[in-house]
Amino acid sequence: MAPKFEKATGNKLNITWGLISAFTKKAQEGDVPDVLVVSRASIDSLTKDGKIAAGSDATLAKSVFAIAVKRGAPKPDISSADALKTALLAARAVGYTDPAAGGASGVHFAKVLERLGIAADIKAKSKFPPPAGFVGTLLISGEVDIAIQSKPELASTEGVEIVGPLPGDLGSTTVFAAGVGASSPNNEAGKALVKFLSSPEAQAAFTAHGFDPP
Amino acid sequence: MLAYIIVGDDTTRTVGALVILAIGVMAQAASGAEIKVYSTIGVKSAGGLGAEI
Repeated sequence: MAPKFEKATGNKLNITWGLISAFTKKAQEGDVPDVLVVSRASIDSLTKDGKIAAGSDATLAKSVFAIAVKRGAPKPDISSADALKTALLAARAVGYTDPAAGGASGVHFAKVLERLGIAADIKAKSKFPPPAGFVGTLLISGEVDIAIQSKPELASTEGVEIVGPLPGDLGSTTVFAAGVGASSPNNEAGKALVKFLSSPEAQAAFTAHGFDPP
Repeated sequence: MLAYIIVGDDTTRTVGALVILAIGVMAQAASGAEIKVYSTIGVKSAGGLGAEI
C-alpha cells in the first residue's frame, strides 16, 4: 500500500515498525511521528494527552489472537477452554511470542495458560521466535506443532493454517487505529495517509492479510 | 491558461506567472513531504502484512 500512496500523493513514507507498547511510550515522552498506527486504546489515550490531534484518527482494522498448525496437519479441537487445554497438553511443543519481550500475544497467552492451570506444563515445552519474529516459522520448521499469535501474523507465513481464535472469554481482540501527531509539520499529508488507510482499497488489503474489518 | 499568458499583455503575464508560482508552492506543500510513521501494522517480511502488537 505504501508505494501506491507515495505515487498518488508525491509524499514519501518513512515507516518504522514496532510494538504498540514501545510506540505509545515514545509518544508519551514526546517522540510523536506525523502518523501513528497503534491500538485504538493508545490513540484515544494519546489524544486525551494532546499528543495526537483530536479528530484526526480513524479505526483501521481488528485482529484476534489465534491458534494455527502447519497446513495439512490435524486440526485440534479448540472449541472450548477444556478442549484447548487438552490440545495444548497433547502437543509436542507449543510456540508463542516470549511474554518477557512485551509482545501482546505472548503476554496474553501466558495469562491464558495460568487460567487453564497448565502454565508449568506448557512452559516446559514452549518455544519462542526471535524478537519481532513470526511464530508460524516454528510450525514450518517443525519445532512446534501448535502456534499462538495474532491472526495476521500467523497468516503471513506461507504453509500455516489458522485453526481459529482462542475460545470464548480466553480470546482477545485488538482494534487498530491511526492518528496524526498534534504538532506534525505535515498535518495535511498525515491526514491524507490516515484517509488512505481507511479507504476500501486499504481495507481489502487488511482483510486479505488476516485482519478483520473494524 | 498557459497559452493565454503567452499571448497576453505584460499585466496578464505577470498575474499568470504569480498564479503559476502559487500553484507550484501549493503543490510543494501538498506533496513531496516525508511523512514519519510509527506503525504496528506493516510488512515485516517479504510476504506478509503482520501486526506486531
